[in-house]
Amino acid sequence: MRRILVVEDNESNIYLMKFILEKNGFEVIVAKDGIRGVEMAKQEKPELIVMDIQLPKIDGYEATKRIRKVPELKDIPVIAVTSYAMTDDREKTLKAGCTDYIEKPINPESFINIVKKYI
Amino acid sequence: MKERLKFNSLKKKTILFVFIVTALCTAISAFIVSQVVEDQMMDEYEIDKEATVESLSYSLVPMLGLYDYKQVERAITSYLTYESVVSIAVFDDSGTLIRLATKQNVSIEDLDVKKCNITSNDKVIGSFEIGFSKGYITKQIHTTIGALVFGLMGFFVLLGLLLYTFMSRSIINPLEAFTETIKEMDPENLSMRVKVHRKDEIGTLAASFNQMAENLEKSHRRLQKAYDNLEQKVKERTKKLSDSQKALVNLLEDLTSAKNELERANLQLEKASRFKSEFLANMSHELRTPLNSIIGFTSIILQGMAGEINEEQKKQLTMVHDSAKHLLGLISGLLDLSKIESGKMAYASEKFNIRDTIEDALGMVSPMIEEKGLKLNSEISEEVRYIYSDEKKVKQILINLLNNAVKFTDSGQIDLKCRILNNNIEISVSDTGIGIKKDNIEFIFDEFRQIDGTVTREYGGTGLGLSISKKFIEALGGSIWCESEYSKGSKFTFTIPLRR
Amino acid sequence: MNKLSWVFLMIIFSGLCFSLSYFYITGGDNKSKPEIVVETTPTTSTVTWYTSVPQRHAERIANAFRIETGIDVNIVRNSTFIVREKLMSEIKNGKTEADVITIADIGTFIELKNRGLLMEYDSPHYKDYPKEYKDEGYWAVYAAFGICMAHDEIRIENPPQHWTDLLDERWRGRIGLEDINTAGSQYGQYYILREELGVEFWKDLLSLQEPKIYYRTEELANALLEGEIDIAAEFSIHIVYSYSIKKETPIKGIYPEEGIPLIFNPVAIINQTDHPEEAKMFLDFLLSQKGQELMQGLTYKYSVLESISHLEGIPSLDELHILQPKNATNYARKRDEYIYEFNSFLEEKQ
Repeated sequence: MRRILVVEDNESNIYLMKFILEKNGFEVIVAKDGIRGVEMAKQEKPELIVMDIQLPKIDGYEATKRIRKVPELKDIPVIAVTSYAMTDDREKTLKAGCTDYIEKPINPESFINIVKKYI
Repeated sequence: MKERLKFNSLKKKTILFVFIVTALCTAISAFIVSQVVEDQMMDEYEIDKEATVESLSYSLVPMLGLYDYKQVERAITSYLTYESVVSIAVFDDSGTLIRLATKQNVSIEDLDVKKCNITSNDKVIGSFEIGFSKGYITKQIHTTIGALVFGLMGFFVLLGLLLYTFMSRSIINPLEAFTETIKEMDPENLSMRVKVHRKDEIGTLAASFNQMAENLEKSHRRLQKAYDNLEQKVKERTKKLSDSQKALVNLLEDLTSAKNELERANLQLEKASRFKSEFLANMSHELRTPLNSIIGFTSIILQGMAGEINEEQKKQLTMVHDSAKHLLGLISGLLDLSKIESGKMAYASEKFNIRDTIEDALGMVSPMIEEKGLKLNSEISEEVRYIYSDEKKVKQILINLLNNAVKFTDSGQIDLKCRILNNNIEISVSDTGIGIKKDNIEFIFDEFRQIDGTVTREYGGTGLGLSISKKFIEALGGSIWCESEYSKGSKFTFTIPLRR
Repeated sequence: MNKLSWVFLMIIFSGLCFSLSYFYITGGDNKSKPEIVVETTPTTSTVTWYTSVPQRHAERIANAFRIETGIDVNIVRNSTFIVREKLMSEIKNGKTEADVITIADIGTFIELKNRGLLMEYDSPHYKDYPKEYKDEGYWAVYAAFGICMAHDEIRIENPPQHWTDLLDERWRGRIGLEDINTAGSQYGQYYILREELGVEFWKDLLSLQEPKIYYRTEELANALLEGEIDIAAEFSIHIVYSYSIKKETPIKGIYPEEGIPLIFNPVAIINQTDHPEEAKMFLDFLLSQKGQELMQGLTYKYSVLESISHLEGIPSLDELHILQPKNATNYARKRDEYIYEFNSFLEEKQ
């Protein structure tokens, strides 16, 4: 079963994303902050990471950078979840090491398509 | 300390001038003289030679007639005492040599030999040959020329000296006297006068100068008087000034405190503004998060991921979904405006394919267009491809214009044209909708203005769309305008520079 | 101050120029007189000429001959009898240098001819000479001169007209004669007038009239002009010409009608000559038209050639009443005796 790591702090959003992914046959593991996210990525080595940008402790960009520093996680697909206010920084997203991004509010169809694009 | 007066340039010029004149005179006169002397002496020499020949011939006549060869010998040796004569040979009428006298140790080459017949009563009784030295005359000429040239040189040098002395005395000396006097004059001592009493130009100059000094002295005295007056007045004024100065100082203190207050107020304002921005940012995040949930979950359910739903559920849920979206749009619009107002809106400058952007935008509105049964035309010029600007904002602008076009058109078509014009990309969206009354056109880009109150998916008719689009366009360096005719249709055109 | 020293400099420079100029003018005056070398007519051979013709005339005659023939003439000149003595003593001693002789004493030539000391030579010119003036083949008269009287015509207005007038008291102490010991002309006059007028004439003249003796005719002329004497009792006609015509002095000749002694100056070749060809050529020259013209032109003596035109201002040979010794041999023989007689008369003063 393909495992996806979701790094998100908002409960509703976690439920939402988890629901959609599980409905599509993916196993979901969750980290609720950036630091934990990096830890879990290292530990669990998922096939894909869905990284919310607005996170406590360290933000999604920083977390992604740290993850990328780990040699085994170099190529793992990271989908950034951005909010409307931040999407001026597309470059920032790619620079941090994210593979792609999706904007909130999440459209389930678009969400699953983009995930399926990478795994 | 008196300086050493130097008229370097004038003196040097004078010396140079005199020198050149002297040298020229010497050279020219030497040349002329040498030419003339040479010619004359040569001519004279010729004449001398002729004369010598004649006199010798004449004196030999009686001697030859009576065979007085002793006399002949005496005659020719005496002629040989002339420096120019080198040899004389006397012959009888049959050409036999009678006597030959030659100077020894004198070169025989280069002789001018003159032959002459000796005649008595028209009968030739003998002949003689007399050899003249050419070197002799040359030496004489050289001697004479040398003497003349050196004499001329000496003469001209003396003349030059005299000339220089005269010029020096005429001009340089009086000028020096002048300068001396002037140096002695200073603001205290204006009573000095130039002591040059001549009738020529320099004298006139001196007289004029003295006159000027006189005038200067007079006006100096007057000035002194005026100055004293002034001093008095100044004292008075100074007192007045110090009084007003004190008043000024007070004023300044007041101003300073006012300024400080203003600064404080300003700081507070800034603080408030910052607070406001942070607040808005936080608020928008707080507001958006639950809305995103609503939208997300309603999407899941509407997409059938949480199980089957019936038509009524679908209908109602759709209304919930749309309301949440509308609300989100409002909040985004407010945030944008707030950012724009506070100058915190960031604009990207990236290279992107605007064709794709247009396609995306068109794609997003095409469901709505189909639903309303409208036709969509797009004409993108060939050369339109990449531009450097903010892709997201451009897309937003396009979507705003297209949405408006769709919203206000019930039948007909919507045209999108895109071309490159003057280093700008020009896009126009025209519709066959209700149009705008002439009086209203000027207001359409204002905030919170909307001509009618229908709902759109994006901004829900808050009236923010066009004003935000305009602000975006202008921030990117472009412009937007509208042409419309009521009940016929509208055309919105905007330009964005190809390179931001 | 700089200016002053410059002025000095300029003045010195100017001075230098002037002195250089001066040096140019004066300097370079010739240090030494260059040596002068005189070359004369190239001659091939030589002929020795013993003569009584005055030196300067003899030189010119020699020049004329030299230039024509290239033969140098070695002149040995002195008064007639001195030359004669030299010649005779040389002959006596065995050898004389003389090739050609011309002296004013016919006697010597006759004597030499008689002693066989003259060369016989057939000069082409002999035929032109009248017989009284030659001994054909041996000698001919080269020049002849007449003896006359002379006076300064300004000072003396009434000169003697005849030889015998000389014996007038008025002329006592005022007469000049030549020295008979040396002058051939004086001997000639003495002999001829002695023959013509008698010995008494001479005795009276010499012992009574206190004549002054001179050694050359020029001296007589000067004495006349200076007033030392009034009359020259013996004077050569050619000298008259010289002084009167050429020099334009007041000397005038007196030609007594009794007769003018004519003295011959013959030319002959000495037999012993070492230069026979040259001597012949010289004799020819002397006797030629050209030689005679030259002789007359130089000495003013008479040429016996008829082709020679006579000089103006003195009587021509034809005009003169010529007196000659009747016997030429006697003329020669009596020389010493008559010379002694003359001298003794002279010493007798009364």
